[in-house]
Amino acid sequence: MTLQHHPSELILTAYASGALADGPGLGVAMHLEHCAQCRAAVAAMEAVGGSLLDALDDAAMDGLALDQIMARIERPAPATRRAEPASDRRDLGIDVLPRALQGRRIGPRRFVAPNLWVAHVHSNKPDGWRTYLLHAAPGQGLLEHGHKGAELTTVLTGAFRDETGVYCAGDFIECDSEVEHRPMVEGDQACLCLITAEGSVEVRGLGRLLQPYLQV
Amino acid sequence: MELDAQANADPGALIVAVARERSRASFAALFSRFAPKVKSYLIKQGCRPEQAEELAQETLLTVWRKAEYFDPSKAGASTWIFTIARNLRIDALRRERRPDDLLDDPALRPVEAASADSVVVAAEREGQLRIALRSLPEEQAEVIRLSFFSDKPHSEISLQLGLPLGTVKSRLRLAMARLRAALEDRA
Repeated sequence: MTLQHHPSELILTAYASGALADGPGLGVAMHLEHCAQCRAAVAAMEAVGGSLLDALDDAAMDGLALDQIMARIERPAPATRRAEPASDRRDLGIDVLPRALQGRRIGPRRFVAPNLWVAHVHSNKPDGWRTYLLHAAPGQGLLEHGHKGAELTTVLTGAFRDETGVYCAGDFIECDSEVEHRPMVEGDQACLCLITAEGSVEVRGLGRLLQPYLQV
Repeated sequence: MELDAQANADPGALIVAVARERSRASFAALFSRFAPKVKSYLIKQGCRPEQAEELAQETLLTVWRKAEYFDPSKAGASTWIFTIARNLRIDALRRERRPDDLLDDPALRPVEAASADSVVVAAEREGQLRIALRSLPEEQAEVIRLSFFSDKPHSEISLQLGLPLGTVKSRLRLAMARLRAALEDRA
């Protein structure tokens, strides 16, 4: 199935150039695992990066750098440690984590309603974004909320619907601070999303009571 | 002298020589050509000079160790080296992935045998891209350069240029459309 919702050109360019913050980069990487069209766009942008690199003025290397590197290549490469087997996180509701999430530290699930939990995805470098997984059972309404900053959502499994449309696995949704929405799980499968939000989330109505839990 | 001949050689061919023959002369030529550019890129991205020096060394060391993963039918030498440098910088910032996880780097996946044809086609594509880059209107070229060579978000780029974000977006979109057309031979 062709995906309907893609990262903007701005976001893809920032990703390809290496300038995108860690959390948003994770969401883009997961979208790319689903989307050949955006992979091709990123490959084109990387080619632009290569051409620009070629055209840069040189920054002189240390006088000994060439000697040092010629000595280093004679030494054997450090033995490759096999990556440790991913910790068993079937509690997250998916058998195989997307590549982009493998090796990431993911905090424990915290239930904010009987059918709704969030789990913090750690970023070692504070980047001003909060990144978390959100899982909701079929039929569950997510909290009606607004944003102070941008919010990026990548759907991992299942689907959800809000005032603007239906979003399926692989879709990448960008909301700015203008948007207020009331998302709802679509279909009979649970929905798991990666959400990266800048600034804080403002919950409306009764959900306001749950506000402290959302500051993951 | 052998090194002089190497210095003018096609960098993609140099990487292939490193992969196939472990050619030290080819590697030295690659290092002399690309390490100062990678260092320059990293400084523009906000690295301190000594960190940029170290990461530029690491980038070229990765080129030596992983040369067999270079696929000249998919990307040019400078594109491949650009992605390695970019990813090493991200890892240095993050330090969550260990260096061994480089094996997971998409730039470093095994290469399927490519036909000579597809290699020539890829090299031509990148040549067209370079021409297209040079012929971009300056206002678009500036947005592209700032997008790639500063670690600032686009909102700051728009402030820096004194332009509305929408204008930055549309210049970027126009520029990327032209560049992709060149890459895909629709120019």
